Amino acid sequence: MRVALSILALGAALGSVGAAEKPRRKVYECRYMESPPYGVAAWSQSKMVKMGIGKESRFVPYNSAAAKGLILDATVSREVKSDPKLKGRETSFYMVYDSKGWYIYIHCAEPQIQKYVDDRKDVALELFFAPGLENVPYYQMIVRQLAGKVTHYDWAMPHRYYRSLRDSVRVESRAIRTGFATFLFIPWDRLYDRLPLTDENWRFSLMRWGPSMTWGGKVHDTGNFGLVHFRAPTAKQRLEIEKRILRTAWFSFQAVARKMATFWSDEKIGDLDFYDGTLKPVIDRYTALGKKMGPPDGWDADTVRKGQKALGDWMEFTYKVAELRTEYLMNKRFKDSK
Amino acid sequence: MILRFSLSGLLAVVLMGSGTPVAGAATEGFGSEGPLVCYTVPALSSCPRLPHTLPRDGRLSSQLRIVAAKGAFEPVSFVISPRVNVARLELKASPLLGPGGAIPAANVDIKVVKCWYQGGTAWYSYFGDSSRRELVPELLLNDETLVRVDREKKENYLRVGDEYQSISYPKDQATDAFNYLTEPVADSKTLQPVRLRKGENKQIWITVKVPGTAAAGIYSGKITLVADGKGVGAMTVSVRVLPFELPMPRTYYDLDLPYLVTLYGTGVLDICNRLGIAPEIADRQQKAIYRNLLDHNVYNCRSDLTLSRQKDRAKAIANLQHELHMMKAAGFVMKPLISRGWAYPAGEKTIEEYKSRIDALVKTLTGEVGHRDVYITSWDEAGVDRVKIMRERAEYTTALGVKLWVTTHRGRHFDLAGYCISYANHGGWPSRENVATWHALGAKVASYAGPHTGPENPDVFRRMEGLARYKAHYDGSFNYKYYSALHPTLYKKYKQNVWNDFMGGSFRPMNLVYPTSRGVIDTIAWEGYREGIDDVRYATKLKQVAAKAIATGQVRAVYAAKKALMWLELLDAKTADLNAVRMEMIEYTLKIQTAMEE
Repeated sequence: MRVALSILALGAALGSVGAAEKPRRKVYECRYMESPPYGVAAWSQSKMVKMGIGKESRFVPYNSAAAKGLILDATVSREVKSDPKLKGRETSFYMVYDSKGWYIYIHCAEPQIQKYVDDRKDVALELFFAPGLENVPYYQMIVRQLAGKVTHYDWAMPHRYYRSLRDSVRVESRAIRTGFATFLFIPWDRLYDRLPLTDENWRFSLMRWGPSMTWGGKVHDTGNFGLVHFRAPTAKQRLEIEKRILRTAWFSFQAVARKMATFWSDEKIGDLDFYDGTLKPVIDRYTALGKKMGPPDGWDADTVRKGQKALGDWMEFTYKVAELRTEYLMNKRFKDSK
Repeated sequence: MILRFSLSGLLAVVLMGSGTPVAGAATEGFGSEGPLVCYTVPALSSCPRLPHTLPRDGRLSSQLRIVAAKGAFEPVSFVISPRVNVARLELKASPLLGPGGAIPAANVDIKVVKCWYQGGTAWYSYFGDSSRRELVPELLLNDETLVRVDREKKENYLRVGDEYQSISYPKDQATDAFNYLTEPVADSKTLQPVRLRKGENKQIWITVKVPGTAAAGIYSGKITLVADGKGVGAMTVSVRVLPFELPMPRTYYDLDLPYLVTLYGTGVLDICNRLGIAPEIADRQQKAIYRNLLDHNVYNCRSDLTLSRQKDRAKAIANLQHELHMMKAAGFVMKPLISRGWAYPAGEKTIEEYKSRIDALVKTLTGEVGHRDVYITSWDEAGVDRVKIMRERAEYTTALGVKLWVTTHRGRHFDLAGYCISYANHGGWPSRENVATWHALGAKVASYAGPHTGPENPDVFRRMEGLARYKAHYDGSFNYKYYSALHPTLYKKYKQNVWNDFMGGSFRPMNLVYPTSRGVIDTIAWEGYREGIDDVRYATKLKQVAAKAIATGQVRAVYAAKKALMWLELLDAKTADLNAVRMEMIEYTLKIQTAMEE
C-alpha cells in the first residue's frame, strides 16, 4: 500500500476547517490496509518502514516560548529541552487503519540510544487527537518510551457519548538499535460513534520531548494541530468495519445484560419490581432483536442496517440501565409522596 | 439534577407545537402546529446544548420534575426549539403549591443559558487555544443581551455601560487591563424577555431553592410562556421534597471528619485596596461573593489576606481581622481555618523579621477564631530548593501550634517534606493511591488541577469535585480557581480581561463565575460544582443513616444499611451516570429509614 503525503491548502477536503484557523497545515493520508503489522517488531521490519512508504517526518522544534509555559502544568512533569539538536534525531510516524482500528507506528531516531538505556533515562512522546473537527472531545496520551507506559488525560467525562481510551489503547514502546520505537493501536469500538467512514479529517499532533519537537503546534493547540485524512473505505471495507462494531456491541450487550439481570433480579440485593416491570422487558426486546439477526458470522449489509438501531443501546447498556433506573426511581418518588 | 429520560417513551409536547424529532428518538403523538417545541433535558449533562443541535438526550415534554432535599438548590432545564421568530418570549414562574404551603415563585430562579465563542479547547480543557473558536453554552443570564455574539466573525461583545466592547481580541490588541471591579457591567436583576430565532434552540435553566422549612411532599406549579404577547403554553414544575435535609459533607473514609470545600481566588479585599476602591464597595463585593460561595456549598472559605510585604503592619492586621469578621458573619465554617498566610520567607531580610510576621499572623488568626486548628500555606508548587527552605521554616510555624497546607505533586513534596505538611493539596486527577501516602502520615489531602476550572462542561465539576474525589478518600476539594482575578501587581503589564478567552497563553481564564462590580455571574459549570458537593452531601446522609441503622443492631435495619454501603463502595464514581447515582442514594436512604421504623 502506498500512502501519499502532502501539504494541502485549504480546499474541498478541508472545507470544514474553520476559516479563522491557519490556512495551511500538515495532512497525513491514512488509508485502509488489510492485515496491517501489529507491534514494534512487525512494524520495524515491515516493508512500509524499510522503504519509507507512508513515512511522515516533518517535525519542527517545539516553540521554545511555549515550552517554558509548560512548567506551570501541575498535572504533567515534562522534561522539555529548548534549542534541540535535531541532527540525527529524526522523528517519523506511519499510520493505517483496518476494520479493527487505527495503527500508529512512531520511530524516534536516537544516535545515543545505548546511553539512554544504560542511564535508564526515559523520554516521552505526547500525542493528541480529536475524532473530527468541531464540537468533538480531544484525547491526550503521554507515552514513556523506555518504560512503555502510557498515561491518558481524559478531558471529557465518561457518558453515553464519550468513552475513555484508558483501558483499550494498546501501546508497545521500547528501545531498538536505531532509537525508540513506539506502536499504538486504537480500537474502533471505543470510538464507534465517531468513525471516519466518509473521507474525514481528524485533528492530530505528536510531540517528542527528547529533543523537543512537534508535528503540529503546541500542546492543546488544537487549531494548529495537523490533520489525519482518513481515506474513505470501500463499501466492502466499510461493511467489514460496521459488522465488527455491531458484533462487539451485540456481545457487549449480552454480557452486560446478564450482569444487570443477575444483580437486579437478586431477591436480597436487587429490585424485583424494577427488574420485572422495566429492565427485563428491555433486555428481552434487545435479545430478541439480536437473535433474529442470526449468528454474527452470517451477517450481511441488510442485517447490519437492521442492527444499527440497537447499536447505541447495545454498546452503552450500562448507561441504558442507569437511564431506566433513574426514570423508575423518579416515578417512584412521585408516587410515594411521604 | 436528576432527570434522565427513556427515549423510547416520548410524549407529545403541549406547547401548541410539533417539531423536529430528536435524532434517534421516537416522537409519538406529535402533531400540532405551534410556534415552540420544548425538550426537557438533564441540566447536568456532558452534552452541550447548542443553537443548531437538537438535544439527543432530550425528551419532548412540558413536565419538569425535581427531587430535592429540604433546603437544597436543585436545577432542571429545558430547550426551546422555535418554529418562528419571536421578538419577546416572556417566562414567568408561579409559586409551587404543596402539602405544607407554597414554595414561593421567587425560589424558582429562571435563567437563559448563553452560548458564546470560546477557544478551541472549550468545553473540555483549561489549556489555552486561541487558534480557533468553538460555540459553547456557559453563562446563566437574566438578560441575554449582556453579551452579544457575532456568529459570522465568531466574536463576543460585552455590554459595558451603554456600549458593547469586544472581548475577543488577541493580547497584542489589548490596550489596558479590564477592571471588572469598577467597569459598569451588570446582568439584569430579573429575567428579561428572550429573543428566539426560527430554528435556533435556546436552553432555559431553572434552579429551585427548596426552603429548609418545607414539609415533605409534592409541590407543583408552572412556568408560563408568552410569545410576543400571546400565551403559548406552560411548563409544569413538580418538586418532590424529601423528608430530610442534607448534612454538611463528611469524608467517605471517616464520617467523623469534615469534607473541606475550598476554592482559590475568592478574596477581593486586597485587590480592591491596591486599586484604590472604596472599602464599602470592596465589602459589598466581598459579601456578594461570600453569599455566592455559600449557596454553592463552599463552606471552608480561605482567608485570603496576609501580612506579607505590608509596610503598615497594624493596618494589615486590622484588614485581616476585618476579613475574618466578614467570613464569620457570612456563615462560613471557621474551624478549621484555612489561611493563605504565607509561611515562606516573603522579603524579610532576617529570620527575626520572618518570625515577627509569623507571630503576628498566628496571633491574629487564632485570636479571631479562638482555636489553633489553623492551616497556613507555604510556596505554591515549590521546587526542590524551595521545599528545603519551606521545611526549615515549617519548624517555626509548627512550634507555634499551627499547621501547614501546600500544593504538592507526586514524589517531590512527600518525599522531602511530608513530615511537616498537614494538608496536601495534590495536583492532578484524584486517585486513592495519591491519598494513601499522605494519610499514612495523618495528613489531610485535597486536590486541584484535576482539572482546573475553565472547562464549561458542568459534568466535569459535578464528577471531579464530587463523588470521584470523595470516593478516592480525599478530605476535601480545593481547586484553582473561582475566577481569574486581576494579578495584584502585574495586571497592567498583562492587560488581563477575565471575559476574553482569546488572549493567548498556556491557560484559559479559569472561571467558574464571571465577576462584575456587583457580584458574580454564574455559569453552568458552577452549577455542576454545587451538584457535585451535593452528591457528597447525599452520600454523607446515606452513610449517616446507615451508621445509625447499624447501631440499632436490628437485623433488617443493619442489613438495609450494609446493602447500601456495599452499593456505594462498588460504585465507580468516575464513570457512573450521576443522575442515576443521586436517585439511588435517595432510594437507599429512604429504604434504611423505613427499615429502622419497622
